[in-house]
Amino acid sequence: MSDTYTPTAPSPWLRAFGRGVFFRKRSRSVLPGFRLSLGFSVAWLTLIVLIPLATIILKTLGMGWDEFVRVGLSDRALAAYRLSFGTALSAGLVNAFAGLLVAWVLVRYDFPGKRVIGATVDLPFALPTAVAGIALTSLYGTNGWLGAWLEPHGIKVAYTPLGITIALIFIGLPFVVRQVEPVLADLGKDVEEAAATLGARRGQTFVRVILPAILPALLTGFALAFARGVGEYGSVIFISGNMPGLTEIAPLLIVTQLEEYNYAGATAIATIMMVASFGILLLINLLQAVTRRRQA
Amino acid sequence: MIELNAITKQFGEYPALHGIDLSINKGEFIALLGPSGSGKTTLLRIIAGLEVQDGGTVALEGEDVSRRKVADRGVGFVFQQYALFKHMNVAENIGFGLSVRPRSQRPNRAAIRARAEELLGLVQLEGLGNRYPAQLSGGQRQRVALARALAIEPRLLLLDEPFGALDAKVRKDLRRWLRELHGRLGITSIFVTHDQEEALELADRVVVMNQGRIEQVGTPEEIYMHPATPFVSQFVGETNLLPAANGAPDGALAVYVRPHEIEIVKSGGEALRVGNVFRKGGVWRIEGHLAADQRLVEIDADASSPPPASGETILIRPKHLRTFAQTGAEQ
Repeated sequence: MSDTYTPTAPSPWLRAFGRGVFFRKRSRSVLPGFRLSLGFSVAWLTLIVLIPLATIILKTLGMGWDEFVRVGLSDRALAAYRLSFGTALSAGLVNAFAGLLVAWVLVRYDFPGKRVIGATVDLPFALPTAVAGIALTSLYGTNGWLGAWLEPHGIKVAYTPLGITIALIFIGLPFVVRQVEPVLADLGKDVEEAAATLGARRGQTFVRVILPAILPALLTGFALAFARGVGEYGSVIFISGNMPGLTEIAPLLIVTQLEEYNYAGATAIATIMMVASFGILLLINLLQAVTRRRQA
Repeated sequence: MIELNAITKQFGEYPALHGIDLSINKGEFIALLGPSGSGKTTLLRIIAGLEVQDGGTVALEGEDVSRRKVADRGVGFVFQQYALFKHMNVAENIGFGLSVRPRSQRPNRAAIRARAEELLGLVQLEGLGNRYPAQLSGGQRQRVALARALAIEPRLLLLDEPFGALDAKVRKDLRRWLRELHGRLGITSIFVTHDQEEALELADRVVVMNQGRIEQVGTPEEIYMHPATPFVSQFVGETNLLPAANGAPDGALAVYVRPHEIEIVKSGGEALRVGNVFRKGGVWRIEGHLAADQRLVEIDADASSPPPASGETILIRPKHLRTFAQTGAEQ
């Protein structure tokens, strides 16, 4: 172990905005190829991410402010944003808890079939989302296994925001599990044992020792699950029922606009979603920087 | 103070401890010494309650704590890799044990901080309370871990290979310092080590363990000068195994002689062909093979006279010999 203190990078955002990574005077490094690799990275990002995003904004600029507000902030669009961000947020929160639990079980216990369960976690990554959507719809539909049992109790899942949330929980689960798992494994049993010898109860150990250590990873997992949920389309459109103003998600609204050849309208909604998502992710990154600051 | 009675422990098929009996007096500094796999760490963890024994009892101050949880035993434990809480600063680490007490027994914030500062003084880390573990050196972290364990005023302090992860110089300083600290605080302590030098230097009594059994319990002097078994003789200090020579009692399998207990004679000794010769501290270390059976022998010879040359044949004789009958007892 070294004597020097090396703070972990707080977050790419903070670095870029807070200290100006692009303009900082470069110190000599033993790693060769800094200029080349940075140049390549920037060019690649520009080509793959920035130019397409810029096109969206350019397209929007062509439509004029009044038109932009009329389409982008219509009642129907506002309802869609509320639904998309609301369901993504609740699915992200559920996943943060459930994913933490799954990661915990996978890291801390040995049991037969552990590898199979580990592989199952990744399935939502690989499965075509439409398949997931159809499976969930048939499961929670009025005549589905779960739907037939839930509906008499007054719980309607399919074609409601609840159904959308369930679909988003499904596709978001692996993000949290895969983020938290390595950190939890790295935490080591001896820290928990140390807390126990010092008189801490299980609950105190969890809240004061384990949770702070995994919080940055948990936040990252949550942010990824949330971001994926906001943009998710395939698995949701089957189970949502797509009633405008009620169960119509923002990505679907964009597709609807495109089908009506209203490209400007589609990009207006996309721009608003992009700005909102960017703001939320920035906020999560800042939060993460705060929780991570002290750890090395 | 501590009574261990017939402690057994098995990990799956592998028996880790076979019926350990041990009693430790108040204020003693005890070393559990043994090679890896000897069960010393397992025994330490059982005393702490981090591991549960399969059979036998652990009693602290006359009270059977065998089924008590770790948190209720009041035992301080220092881990080999320190196990500090990385997200807490040094003072928070040290105060942790006090801050998790039930509300009625918990000191207030200021009192906990004051206690942490006091302990920081004790471990000679004044002024570092606001640092984070990542900002400290290995030796400093180990002392924070010790202060944290002492904060709960444990009735017993357990240390698992406390110097294992440190470099030689730091280890030596920390060793001396720990010895002094024990003298000052007088807290009953047990530490685990595989380093015989460390055990002999620090401990009041050394418990030598091998393959889940206690080989010998004694003062460092007893362990070194009067090893009870062939294992102890070979594990603690360096030992030559010579063939049972004249004068050895019947039934002796071999003669155990330390390198400094062999003298070079003009006549009447065994022939040894000298191999490597090098300076080892204040003596010449001579390595050679017995002419009789090619057995490797190490000798420490006085450095005031020139050593024999490599390839030369010399005569050697043990000054003091130690033999073990098959029962394993010294004769």
